[in-house]
Amino acid sequence: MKPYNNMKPEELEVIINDAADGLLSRDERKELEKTLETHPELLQDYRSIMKLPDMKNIYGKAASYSNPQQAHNILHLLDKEDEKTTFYNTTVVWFRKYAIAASLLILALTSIFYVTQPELLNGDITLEEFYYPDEELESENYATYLDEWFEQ
Amino acid sequence: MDSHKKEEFKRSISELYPRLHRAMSAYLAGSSVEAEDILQETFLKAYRNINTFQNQSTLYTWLYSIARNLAIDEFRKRKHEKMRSSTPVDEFELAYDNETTDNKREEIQLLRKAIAELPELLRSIVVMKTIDGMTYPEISEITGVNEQTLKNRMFRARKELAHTLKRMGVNEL
Repeated sequence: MKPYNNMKPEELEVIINDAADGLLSRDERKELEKTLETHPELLQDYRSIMKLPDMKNIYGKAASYSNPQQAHNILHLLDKEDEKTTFYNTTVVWFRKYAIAASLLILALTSIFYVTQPELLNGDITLEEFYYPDEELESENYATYLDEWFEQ
Repeated sequence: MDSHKKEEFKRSISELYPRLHRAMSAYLAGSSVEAEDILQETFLKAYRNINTFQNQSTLYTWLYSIARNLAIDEFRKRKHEKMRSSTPVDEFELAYDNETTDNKREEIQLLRKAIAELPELLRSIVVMKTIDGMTYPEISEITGVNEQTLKNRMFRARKELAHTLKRMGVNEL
């Protein structure tokens, strides 16, 4: 580390802070004070800072902030979070596992069905005609009736 | 792996809670944000993201950075409200030891008020360093600011504290 008297003001601020943290030896502090005589503003800051009271215990001991009820509430919240996560994970796993398998099965069955029914593949009949071969639509009957009636 | 981490996290709550509560009480003093609400959210958020926790940082500093970010978000949300409340210092919730004398109490009140008046950038460092007892590398990990800059900020914070206390009539300064 370079001598204090060669330091810039910003560097001296860091050394003052180290002094306030109790990191300087007595000799180092003396040297710092001597250097600060050429920086009156910093010397004033140094004196004020060194007089600051100890702030370590102004909020008491950590143990006095222990709140078993609050800690219990947090644990309860985390357990609820676990339940939500479990449900979500189960749903996603189930979906991935079974929904994909079901889609593949449907695809396979449809392919087999078409392969075993060549009329459908060739376009000779429609799927509707395949399933309802004997059913005639009322509207078609009525149209035929009207055609015949006009011809007469 | 995650479930092991989660169980460990749950076990550490009772140990980490008081320290974090004290730090957040100091950090949020004088604001309208409740330390308990921030803590609850912090633990929940940390639990949800436990798999992202790297052991390079301690669990405490990780939680602290989550809590601080949540508090800053809350400050932003309440920007239109008065961010720093006008709660007089003697109405702050204060917890003292039985042996604390009246003079000491007054000094503590003034110190707390002086810290609460610091801007967030400086207040957070004062709380972490002097009240919570963190090291500069730990503070650097939380804030993402290098140690040299942190020490400069700590100097500014101390200077401002000394100035505020003098204004408050603490004659020693």
